[in-house]
Amino acid sequence: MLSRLLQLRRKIRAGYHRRMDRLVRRLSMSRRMVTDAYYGECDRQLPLWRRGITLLLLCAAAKTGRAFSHRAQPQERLDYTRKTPLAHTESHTLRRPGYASLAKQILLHDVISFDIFDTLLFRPFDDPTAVFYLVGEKLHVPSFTRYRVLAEKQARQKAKERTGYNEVTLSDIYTQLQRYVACDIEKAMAIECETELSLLKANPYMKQVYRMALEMGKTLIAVSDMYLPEDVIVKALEQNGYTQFTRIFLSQVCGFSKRSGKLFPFVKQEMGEDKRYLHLGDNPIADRVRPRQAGFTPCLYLNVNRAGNPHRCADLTALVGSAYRGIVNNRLYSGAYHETPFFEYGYAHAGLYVMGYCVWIHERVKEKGIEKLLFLSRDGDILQKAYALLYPEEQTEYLYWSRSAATRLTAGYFRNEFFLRYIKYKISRGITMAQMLDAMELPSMQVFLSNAGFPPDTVLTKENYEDIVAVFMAHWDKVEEAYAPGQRAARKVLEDKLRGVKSAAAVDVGWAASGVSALKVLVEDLWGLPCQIYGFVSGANYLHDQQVIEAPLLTGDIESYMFSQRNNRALRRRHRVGQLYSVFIEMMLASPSPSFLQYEETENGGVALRFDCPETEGYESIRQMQKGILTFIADYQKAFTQYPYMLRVSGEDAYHVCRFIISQPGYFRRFFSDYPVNRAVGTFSHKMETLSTLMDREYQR
Amino acid sequence: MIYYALTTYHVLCCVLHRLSFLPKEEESVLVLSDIHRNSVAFLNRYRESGIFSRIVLLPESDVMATAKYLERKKMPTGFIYKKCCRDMGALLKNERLSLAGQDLALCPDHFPFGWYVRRHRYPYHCMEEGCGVLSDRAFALSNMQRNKTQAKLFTRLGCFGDNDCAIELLGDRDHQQPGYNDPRLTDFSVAKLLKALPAGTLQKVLAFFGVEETFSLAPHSVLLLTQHLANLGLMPLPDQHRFYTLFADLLLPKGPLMIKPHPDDIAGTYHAAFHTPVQVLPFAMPSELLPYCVKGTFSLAAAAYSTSVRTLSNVAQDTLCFDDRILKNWRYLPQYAAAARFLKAAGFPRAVTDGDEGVLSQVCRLQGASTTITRDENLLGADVVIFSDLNESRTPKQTAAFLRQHPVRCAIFLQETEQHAYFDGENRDIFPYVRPIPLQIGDEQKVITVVSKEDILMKTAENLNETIELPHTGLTIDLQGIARAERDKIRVLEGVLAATEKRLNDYISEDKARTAESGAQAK
Repeated sequence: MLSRLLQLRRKIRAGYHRRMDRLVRRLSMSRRMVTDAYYGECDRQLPLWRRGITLLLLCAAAKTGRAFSHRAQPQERLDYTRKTPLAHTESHTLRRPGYASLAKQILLHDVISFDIFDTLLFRPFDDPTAVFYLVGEKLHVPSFTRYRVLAEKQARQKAKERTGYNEVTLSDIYTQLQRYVACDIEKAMAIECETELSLLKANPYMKQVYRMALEMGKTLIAVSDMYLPEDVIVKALEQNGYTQFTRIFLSQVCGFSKRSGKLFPFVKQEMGEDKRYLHLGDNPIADRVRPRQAGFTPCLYLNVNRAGNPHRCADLTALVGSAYRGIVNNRLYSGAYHETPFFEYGYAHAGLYVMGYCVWIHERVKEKGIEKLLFLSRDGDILQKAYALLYPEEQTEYLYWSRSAATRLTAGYFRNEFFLRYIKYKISRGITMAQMLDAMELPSMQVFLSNAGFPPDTVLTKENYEDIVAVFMAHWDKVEEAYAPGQRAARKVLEDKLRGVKSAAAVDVGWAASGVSALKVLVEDLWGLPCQIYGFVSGANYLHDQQVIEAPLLTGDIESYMFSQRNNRALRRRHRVGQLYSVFIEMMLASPSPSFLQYEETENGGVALRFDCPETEGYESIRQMQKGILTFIADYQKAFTQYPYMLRVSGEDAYHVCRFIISQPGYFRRFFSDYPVNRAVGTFSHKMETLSTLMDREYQR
Repeated sequence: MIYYALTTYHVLCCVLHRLSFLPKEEESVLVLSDIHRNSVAFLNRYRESGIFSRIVLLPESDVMATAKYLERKKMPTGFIYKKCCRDMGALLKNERLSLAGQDLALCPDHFPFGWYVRRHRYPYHCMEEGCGVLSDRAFALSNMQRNKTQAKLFTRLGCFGDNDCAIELLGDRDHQQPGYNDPRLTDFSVAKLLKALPAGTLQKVLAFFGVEETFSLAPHSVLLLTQHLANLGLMPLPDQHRFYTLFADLLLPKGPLMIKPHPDDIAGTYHAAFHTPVQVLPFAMPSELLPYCVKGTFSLAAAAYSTSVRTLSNVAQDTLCFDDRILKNWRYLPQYAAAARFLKAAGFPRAVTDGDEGVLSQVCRLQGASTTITRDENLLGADVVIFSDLNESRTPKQTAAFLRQHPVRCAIFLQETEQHAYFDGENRDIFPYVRPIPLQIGDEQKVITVVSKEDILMKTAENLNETIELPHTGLTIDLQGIARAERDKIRVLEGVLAATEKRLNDYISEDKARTAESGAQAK
C-alpha cells in the first residue's frame, strides 16, 4: 500500500514537472531572458514552489523590462530588452520627411544651415569615441580611448573656468592629454585628424538635401560645435562633395557654441538679419531649441544612432560592435533608403556574420596553404559571392552538393546515415514504403520489401524500422548498383574541379559537417584523388550527437567559425536547435535555386544535374536578402578601407548579432510568415510549408 | 477683376490676361494659393512687378488639409464641400476680399476657392488647366485620382467650366480635342498671346517669373521637360532621377541635353543625377516662356507625359510625348532596348506588342532597328510578338495556348513579374526553343526571353553579344546570349527547368484529382 502511495506521489510530482516544463517552454518562445535565467539558475532539485516563485518573478521582470537575470553583464542585459521594431521595417520606422516636402521647406527660406557631424557627415561608428581606438592603435598606446575622453572632459572644465564657455580646440585636449601619455602632441593630433578624415562619409539623405538647396540657388552655411581644426572640417566636407558652403561657423572659432544659444544670433548678424533661415541638425537642444530661439526655422534630423541603437545588438566587442551598429544605423535610419524586410534581414543581421566568416576562411586558407575553395550549394552561394566581393583576385568554385546527394554517394560507407536520413527521420511523417523508395530512387527494392512482408502501402513506423533496415542490408548490392552511375558522374565533376589541386577546403554552414565529411571520404578514401580536403563550418552543433566531429576538429581537418565543442562552448549551449535557431541562420545563407539532388550520367557520357522541388515563392525574398548581405559588406569594406583589421570579426561577435534576431520569433512571424520552407528536401514534395506553420509545429513539441 | 491662380502656368495665364485684355488703369487683384509653394516663395517678386494692383496669398492649404482630414474620416463629400466653403469664406473675410459683384477669372476651378465660387453661384471666367485640357476631361481626371473629394466634386460641380456659372471659357482653341465647340470658348492661346506682346511688356513678364538670362543653344540640342513625379507621390525621388536618365539615354537622340524642370519639380537635382554635363534651366519659370529666353531651336522637345510640350512647336523642330503608360513601364526600358537590338539583329520588319507601342517604337528607332511596332491586345497580325509587363492579366496558361494556336515566327518576353510566362507546366516541348538573353545593368541582372522554332533566330539570340551605352545613367547594358559553349549554365538551367516542370505537374495532377473528386461528389 505504502509503495503504491509513493508511486502515486512520484507520478503526481512527475506530472507537475512536466507541466512546469511545458509552461516554461511556452513562455520561452517569446521571452528568451526567462528561459535563460530559469534554466541557468533553477536547479531541478529545488522544490517546486521555489522554482515557481523564481519563474513568476522572472516573468514579471521580463514584462517590465527592468530586471534581468542577475548574472547577465550590462551589455547582455541590453540585448534582452532590445528588440527589432515589428510595426514596420526599420528603414520605414522613423518616417523622415520625403525629399519633396523638404524641398518645399527649403524653397521658402533664403539661407539653409546644416549641422556637420551626424547630419552632413557620418562616422562608421555609433559612438564617436570609438575613433580613439583606431588613433590609440596608431600611437601604440593601450587605454588611449579612456585617456582621450578624460583629457577632453578636463580640458572643457578648464575652459569653462577660464572663459565661461566650455569650447575647446584639439590642441587644448592634447595638452591636457600630456598628463596621461607623453606622446608627441603634434603627431598625435595629426593622427587623430587623419583618422577622422579617413572615416567620415557623406550622409546620403543630407547630400540630396544639400544638392536640392544648391540647385534652388540658396545660400548654404554649416554650423558646428566641433573641436577639430577648421581646415580639417573643411577638408572633410570637401572630400565628401560639400564644396559650395558660403560660410562655416565653428564654435571654437566664434568662441561660443550652438548649445549655448549664442552662435545662431551671431550667424544671423553675419549673414543678414532680414533673411529667412532654415537649420537642419540632429541635436534636440542645439539644433532645434536654440535655432528656434534665434528666429531660425528648425528641422530636427533625429540622430541615426539614437533612433537605431534600441534595435541593435549591444553585447559585442567595443570596436567591431560600434562599427556594426554605426554602419547599420547609418543606412537604415538615414532616411535615404526604404528597404524590404528581407533586405534588412540580410543587411542588419546576416551581413556581419557572412563577412566575418569569409574573412576568417580567407585567413585559414592562407594559414593552411589551401589551393582551392569549394563553396557547397546552397549555403555556399552567398558565401561565394561575399568572398568574391572581399577577395576578387582569388579563384573559387561552387560545388553542387547537398545532404541528400552526399548520403547517396556515401551510402556504401556511412550506412547508418543513409538509414537515418531516408528511413528513421521519415517515421514521424508517416510515409509509405512506396514514398520512401521513391525518395531513395530505389524502386527495385520493393520486390524484396514485399517479400519480407512490407507491401508498397505499408506505413513506416518505429516498430518496423529495424526489419526494413535488415532487408536493405541483405540486398545492399542492389543499393550500390543503383547509385553507381551517380557516383561515376560525381567523380567526373570532382576530378575536373580538383585537377592539379593538392589541398582544397569545402565551405558549409554547419552543423554536423556531414557534407564536408562525405566529400572528404569520397575524395580521399573512396576515389583516392591526390587532394586533401579540409572543411570550414560556421557552427558545429548536431542535435543527435554533440561529439560528431570531435576528432576532425582536434586534427584541424574541420574548423568551426562561431562555436563548436572546442570554441565558444557557451554559445553552443545557447544555440537552441529546438527553437529553430539553425533554420533561421540557414535562412540567412539561402540561395534562389532549388536544392541539389544528384549528379546523373547522360547518354553521351556527360554529367547532368538533378534538383529538388524549387521553392520559387521565396526566391525574390532570397535575392533581397542576398542583396542586403552584399550591400552591408560593401558598405563596411568601404568604411574601413584603411583599416583592414576591422574586418576581422570574431565568431562570438558574429553569433551574438545572429542570436539577437534568431531568438525573436515574433520578428519572423511578423515579416517571414509566408517564407516557403521545404522540410522534406530530398523527397520531392511539391507542397511547401511556410515558416509560420513550421514554427507552430516545432514550438508545440 | 479678381484672378485666382494656383500653379505657375495659371499665374502666367492670369498675367497674360491682365496685360492683354484689361485696360492698364483697371484694378486687378491676383489671389494666389499657398498650396503652391512657389507662390509663397516668389510672392515678393510678384508684388514688386506691379502688374497687379494687389496680390493676396490665401492660406488655402489649411482648407485642403481639412478636406483631406475629413476624407480620411470618411465624411460624405457634401459635408466636406460645405465645410471647405465655410472655411474659405472665413479666409476671404480675413483678407477683406469680397467676391460678390466682382468680375472673376478662375484658373483652375476645382480647388476650394472654385468650390466657394460655385457654392455662391458667382459668375466667372474659366481658364483652362493646361494647354488643350479644357476638352480633355479624361486627362484631367486621371491627374486627380489621388484626391477623391476633388475627383467627386469635379463631376458634381461641373468643374473646368462645365456649369452655368462659367460665363466664358478661356482655352487654346487649336489644341482642343477634335469636335469640341463650346459656344462660350474664347481663344486664349498662351503662345499666341506671348507672341503678340510688345517687347517692353514681354520683358515685364519675363522679369515677373525671374528670367534674367538668355541661353544659347548648341546645334542639335534636345530639350527634356520634366514633371514633379516625386512631388505628386507617383514615385520616390531617386526613381524619378533614374526615370529621366533612362529616358534621356534610350528615348532621346544624342545631342547636347537641356533640362527644364517643371515649376513644381523643386526636389529634382539633375546636375547630380545625370552622369553627363547637362544644362538645367531655372525651374521657376513656365516652359511657355522658353522661346523668349533661348537663342536657337531645339532639334527635339520631349516630355514623358505632359501637356506643356504642345506649346513648344515654335522653338523645337520636333516634339515627343508619351501617354501615362510610361509611368508604369519605364522600368522596362532596358528590356525594350534589348528587344530592339534583337529585332535589329534578326531583321524583322514588323512586330506586334501588347505593351507600349509608342515607347517601343522610339527605342527601336534609336537602337537602329527598322521594325514597325503596332499594338494589339490580342497580339494578332504579325509574325513577331512582344509580350510586355503592361499586360499582367494574361496567365501562363493563356500564353501557352496562344503560342499553340498562333504559331508565330518569334515571341519575345519582356516580363519580369512572370519570368517563365511561356510555360504552363504541360508544354515541355517548348524548352528546346527557349533562348534567354541575360542583361547586365550595373550590378543588376535582368533577362528577356526569345522563343522561336527557327534555327537562325535561336542562333541570333544565342550569339547576341552587345553593349548599349547609357551615358546619362552612367551604366551600360551588356547583352550576353547564352551561347552553346556555356555548357555549365545550360546544364544548371536544364536541371532547374526539369524540377520546375515536375513541381508544376504535381500541382496539375493534384488539381485534376481534386476536380474529379468534387465532380464525383456532385454526382
